[in-house]
Amino acid sequence: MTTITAQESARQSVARKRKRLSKQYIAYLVHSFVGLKLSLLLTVVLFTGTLAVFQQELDWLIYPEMRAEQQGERQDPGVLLDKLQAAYPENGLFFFRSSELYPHMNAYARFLDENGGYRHAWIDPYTAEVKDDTVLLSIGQFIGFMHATLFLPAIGNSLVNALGLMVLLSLITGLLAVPKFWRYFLQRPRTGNTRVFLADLHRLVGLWSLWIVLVIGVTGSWWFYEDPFVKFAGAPEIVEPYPRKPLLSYEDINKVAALGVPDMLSAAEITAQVRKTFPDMQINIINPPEHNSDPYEVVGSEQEWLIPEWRGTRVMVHPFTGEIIETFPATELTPMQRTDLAMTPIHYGTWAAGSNGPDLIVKTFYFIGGLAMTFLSVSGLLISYKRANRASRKLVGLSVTMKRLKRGWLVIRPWGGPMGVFKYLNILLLAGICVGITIALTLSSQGTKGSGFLYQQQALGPWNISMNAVAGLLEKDLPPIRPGAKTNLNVEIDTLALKEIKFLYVKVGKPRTKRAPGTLIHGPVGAKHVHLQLPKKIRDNSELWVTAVTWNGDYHQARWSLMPNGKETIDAR
Amino acid sequence: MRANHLLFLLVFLSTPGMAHSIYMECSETSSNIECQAGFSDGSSAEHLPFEVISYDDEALVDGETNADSRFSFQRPTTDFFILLDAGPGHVVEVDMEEIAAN
Repeated sequence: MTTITAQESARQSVARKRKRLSKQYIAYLVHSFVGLKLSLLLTVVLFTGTLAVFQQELDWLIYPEMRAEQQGERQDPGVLLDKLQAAYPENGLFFFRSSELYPHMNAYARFLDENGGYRHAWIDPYTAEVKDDTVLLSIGQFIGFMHATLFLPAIGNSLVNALGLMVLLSLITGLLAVPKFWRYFLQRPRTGNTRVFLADLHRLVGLWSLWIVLVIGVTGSWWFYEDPFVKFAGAPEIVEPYPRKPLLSYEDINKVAALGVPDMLSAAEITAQVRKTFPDMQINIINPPEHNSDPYEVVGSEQEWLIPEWRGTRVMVHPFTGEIIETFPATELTPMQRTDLAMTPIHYGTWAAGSNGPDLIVKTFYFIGGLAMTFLSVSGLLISYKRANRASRKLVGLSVTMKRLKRGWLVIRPWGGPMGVFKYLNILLLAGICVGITIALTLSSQGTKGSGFLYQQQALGPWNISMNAVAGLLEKDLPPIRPGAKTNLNVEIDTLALKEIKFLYVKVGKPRTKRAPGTLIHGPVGAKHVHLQLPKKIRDNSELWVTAVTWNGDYHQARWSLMPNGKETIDAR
Repeated sequence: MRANHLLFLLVFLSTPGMAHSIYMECSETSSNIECQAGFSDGSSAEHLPFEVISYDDEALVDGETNADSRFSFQRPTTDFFILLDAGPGHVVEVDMEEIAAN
């Protein structure tokens, strides 16, 4: 038997304490590092995320077009889409949302106006009265975009996702840094010293908001793995790919073509077909076809939990016969796909939506949790500044001006202040956000029509067609035709022609074969377009060819000089 | 912290809807032509039929893309182009002149 002396026991106790302190100190350092280095950015994301909990409700209060008075039975979503489309004959509607989960909200569909700007067209789901339309980037949507992307193209989403991991790390290290943290749940903050009070309050709020920090940390970290690691760095996919939207088969198209010029079924006829097979399905989204081999996509739910309303069961319907050509039931999603889809409602607190769901109560909890997280970010920064200020009190014997200058230098020097060199990154990113917001606000009301290279109107068989090419929404002033690049072509063609034409293609150079006349032009009426891959070699005399194949089997072609020549092709930049 | 990607794309890209186009890019190695197919929305293009055809319309090679949406074949001795067929309206052609050397 080993006997431990009192001295030895005391020494071991001190050693254990040191070790524990050391672990806590490391946890504290990591907690401070991840919480402070991007704290300005984190505060922006957390605060906008807090407001984004109520983004739909905020828009509902602001825009009367969105408000519905609950009365009687709801009209069928297909009927609503048809009535809405009839009210906008020149603008093909896409992404129809029935809003059935929100009884006091009107249904809507998206469209592009004559300038190419995105808008929402609203319709009352009970009376089928068409309301007015609103901009896509409403105040609520603006806050939501800001939270999710910071309006920083390409990197914004990844950056926001990275903050999710930082939040998770803050949670873990924060708990490790406070030994026996559960003892502090009911401990009142000490008053008398601002820094001590803030630190105690920071700990108290942190403990009571553990649940929301965990929710945001886990969901954000999940997305951080997907974007950027899977998306850009080739990390292994942990979620199986979702099934691709199918096309009609050659046989389907040939059968339709054999009967002459076909009429596409209305949305009401499509939803009636879907209800025959899925009588209990709540139809949430309808995506009308964008070309003639594209099926209607009807998305709905059958009481599945934790699936966003625009996902769930997807039913693909033949647009000319109403036959269901493929179904992707929510019940057949893999566990990883279900987990992936659950992240959105868990993160945003939308999982209780529904006519009888406690949606607003859940969102209120999320909102309060979001405010608490914002406070944690701000108070963490303030506590650190207070500590830095305490250190700067040592500046004795200096004039007032010199003290101010010295304090300023202590903060702005690369290694100064709680954020250190990262403060420049914070400021740079905040400046980028301001620029992104300006661009997004401009672009949400402007499109790309009439910009870039103009391919002047000319005959395509019995119809007229014109196009314009732009490098992208953010690159309207760049040359849109560059070897090996992709360009966006907006296509203007008579609406009547679209009924007669089976497929419309565009290609650089004369098509070699009728089987492959080029890339398919698609999109809603009034917004036909194509994202065209340009060849790696572009000759001075290269031409842009458009080929129309009609339902009757006729071919019509038109061609332009690919590069501006001051005649049929004009540089409008 | 991620919003609906579609909404973001709607603002920052000109593509208004959900449809996608097929694309194919080919490059030449020392002995083979290797092609990568895909859809513009990022989805894969596995098990789609391809054909290699001579300028005289003679079928030279055919097959399917693999699970990674790729295929390869030995460079023909005659002039040729490649067709990849993803369905009605979605046939893409790459001419031998558009094949980049690796």
